Amino acid sequence: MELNQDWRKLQSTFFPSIAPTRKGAASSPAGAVYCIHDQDIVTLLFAEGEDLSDWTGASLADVRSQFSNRVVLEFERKALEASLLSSVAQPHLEAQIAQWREDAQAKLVATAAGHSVMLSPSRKDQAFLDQWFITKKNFLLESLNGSWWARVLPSAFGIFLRFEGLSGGSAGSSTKEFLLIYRKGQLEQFGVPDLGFIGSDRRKDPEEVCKYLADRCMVPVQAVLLREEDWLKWASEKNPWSEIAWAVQSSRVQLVPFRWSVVSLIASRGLLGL
Amino acid sequence: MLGIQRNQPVGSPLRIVVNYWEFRPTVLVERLDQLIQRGVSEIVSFVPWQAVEADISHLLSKFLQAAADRNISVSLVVSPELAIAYPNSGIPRDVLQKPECLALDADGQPLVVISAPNSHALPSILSAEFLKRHQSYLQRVDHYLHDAVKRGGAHVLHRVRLILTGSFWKYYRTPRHSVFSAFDGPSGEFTPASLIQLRNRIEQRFSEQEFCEPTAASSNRWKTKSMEEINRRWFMQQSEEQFRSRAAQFFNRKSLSVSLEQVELYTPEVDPSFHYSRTMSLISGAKADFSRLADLVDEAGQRHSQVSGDAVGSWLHWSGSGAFASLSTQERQFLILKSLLLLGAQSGGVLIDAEEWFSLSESFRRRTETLARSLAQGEYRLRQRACYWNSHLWSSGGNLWSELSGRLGSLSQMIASDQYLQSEAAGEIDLLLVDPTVIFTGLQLTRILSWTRAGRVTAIPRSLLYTEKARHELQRILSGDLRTERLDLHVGLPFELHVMGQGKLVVYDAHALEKSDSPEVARQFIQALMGLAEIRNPCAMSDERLQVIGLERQSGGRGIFILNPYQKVLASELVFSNEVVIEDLAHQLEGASLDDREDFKAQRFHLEIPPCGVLPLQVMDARWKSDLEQREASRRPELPSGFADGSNAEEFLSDAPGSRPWN
Repeated sequence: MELNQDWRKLQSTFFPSIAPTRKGAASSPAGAVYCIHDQDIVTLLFAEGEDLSDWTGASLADVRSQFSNRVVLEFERKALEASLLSSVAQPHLEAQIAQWREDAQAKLVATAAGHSVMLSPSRKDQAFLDQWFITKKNFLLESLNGSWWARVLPSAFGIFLRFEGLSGGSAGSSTKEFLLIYRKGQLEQFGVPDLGFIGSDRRKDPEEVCKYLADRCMVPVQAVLLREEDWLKWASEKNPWSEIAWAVQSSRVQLVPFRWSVVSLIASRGLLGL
Repeated sequence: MLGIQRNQPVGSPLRIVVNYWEFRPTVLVERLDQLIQRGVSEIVSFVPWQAVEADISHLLSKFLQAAADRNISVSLVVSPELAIAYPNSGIPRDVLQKPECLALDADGQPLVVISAPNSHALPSILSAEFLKRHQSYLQRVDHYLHDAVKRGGAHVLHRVRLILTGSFWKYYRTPRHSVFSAFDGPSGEFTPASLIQLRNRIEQRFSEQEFCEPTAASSNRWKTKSMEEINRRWFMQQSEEQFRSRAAQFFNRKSLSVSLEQVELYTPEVDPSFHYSRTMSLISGAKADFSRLADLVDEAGQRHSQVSGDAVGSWLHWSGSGAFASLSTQERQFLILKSLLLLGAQSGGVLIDAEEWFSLSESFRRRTETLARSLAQGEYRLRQRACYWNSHLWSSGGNLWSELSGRLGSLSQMIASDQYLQSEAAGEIDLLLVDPTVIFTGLQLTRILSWTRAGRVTAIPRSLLYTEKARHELQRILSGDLRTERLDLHVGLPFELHVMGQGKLVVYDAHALEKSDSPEVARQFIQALMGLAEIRNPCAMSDERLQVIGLERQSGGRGIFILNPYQKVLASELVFSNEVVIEDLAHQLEGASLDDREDFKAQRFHLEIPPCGVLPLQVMDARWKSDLEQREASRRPELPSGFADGSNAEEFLSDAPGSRPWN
């Protein structure tokens, strides 16, 4: 048995650093204040690292006035709850959070310097929103989920990642593995794959592993072999694709099986910036 | 490291969670060997419903066998619980897809819980489909236990313990109400099926002889619209106990020689009062609200479940995939220590995810394990002084409970059954306060009165919620038939004071309490009750932001733990009612030699507590000791009269030894 949705491993593998990096991080005194309200009465006031529990029950006008030097992002309680309820159909928390953000942003009211603005998720407002919603982004998940790649990739596929040269030497082995399964453009399964049913010799061979996983999950699987130190560096960068493209060329990153189509996808991102 | 002592007493209050289903069989064995190497001898594993239904490779049996081969004690949590890192918290997807199986809040909306790896609706335990499927889950667990014995022999189960919990009942609350205060607003579930069951149970209960006196028509008064909320609370409490009992009966009847333990398991990260906060932290990408989690630890430490009248240990669970994991190391250490002190010192403890535990520094783990061992051996324990009997454990106790718990903190507790008063633990309680929503039968009143006569103070409401028999009994007391001395008083609330034997009975006006709905009224009344019961806090901090947890030490003296839940250094004075000797407790717990010990004698001590720090002190207090020896007299040290306004501030001022925080 294995965990098909290993949230913890997903977090530790794809988001190794949880420190917010954007300008005006919420933990600073100037960070945004997130307010859930019900008919202009505050249900909850939230800001990272601050205890604002005393504001529950206050009026929205008071909050705007008190925090006029900060950005206040206002969420209508009923709309938020409707979003939470409808999101239970999503396969996992990553997708659910994305839906909450999307739904919230569609109806979000923000006050900055005491002025209220209704925001729309248009390109113009997106920069503003991105400033206050730390979307924990990983270059690989972002490309697989939300880019034009989705239009050219098969409807169902798997990515098998093998990290070599672990510094911590966990689990008594020097490699760490992770499997992502996408179906209909959505991340469906994620976690450490169960390779217990294939022999240790076959397990060392990424081609054999790919065949085994493809048979078991009934999707084509692409294996990517890379060093953990490289992964940790790239995972903290916004767009490491050019480095990855060079790493593929110099065989520092190996693709198994080697597919030109995959190489061209990486190159188009890394070298052409598409 | 946790459990490093192989001769550690069974039932450490600090247990690590290693879920067998998170590993494939080969890795599982490796993992157990690693745990052995790290000195772990006792682990807890959740048994998700869906994992059991899908366990075609008999992983549970293999796990038990592998653990038995390594002499590892295993506690299997076989009640549905949240935050267990399994999709839908292990509840089968098809159950959650049936609208009739979903729990509804008072607004008729499904209750949604954020429990990584996903957010899902909460099922209704009262739904017939849920109960049917749950029964089949229990059968499958039983099947795997038998399978384990078949594979490895009877010894496989010798170190296995099945843990039954109160399941989802404690989470049936509406976030929009509980955001004000964790247990505010209507609790319980409101599905049409539950309403039908409520009606049936009401009919059944109030057809009992005692409720039909003096005439059969008398039973109707218990079924009126105004009684709905009171009856609902009773019904929810009864249903929870019934759910527990059914599971216990099943295993008692079916399973092999496996020990069964009833506990309460509470995960603050999925509490409804934390729901919006968690949503905002996930949407914004910010870390979780530490202060809310810290407050919820207090709530967990104060609510005491009972099963068939027996108190069960309360356990607090810190998961590896929720809000806890997003906190800083300092904050996580603070929460672990706080929960261990509050729950471990009263027969409960802390469950913590293995990866989270081993991510903490070795020195912190060593110190925490030392404390856990002291608690397991009964060296330190939390002696609670006041008890609040509510009709439903997971409902609000109103202004009276807010005031009582606010004043006494960890010295107060909430219960939901008078049978608790017959337990050994209740022997140390000095004050019992009964919520106005409790219905009294004759037997209950007699039980309470007899408990009171043994030198306690009991406050009961004067309300209409007495059966004829109970009303008659109360009338006898109030009219002086039982030769009690009576005083009519008005402190906050109008109440009558009756001296009964060595105890005191207070009958307060529930109607006046309801009418006033004022915290000030409750404040004055609680102050009066504490005065009657002679309950005083043994010490106090001049800065109220600091929390003090006082534990009694078996070998004499007290352990005083000062907690700073803030992100900045707080300086304060620790004030006792008389001169005491204090030492650095951290030294003692770490096994420092007697020569290294340094003590200080004073009445006031100046302390500086670092951010999220926990400062342990050993207090030797001759007066406190003599008070304990005269427990029946219930005399407790009082704070100096000038403490409140600081007029005695310079008297006996001394710096505390070391001021060395523990984390």
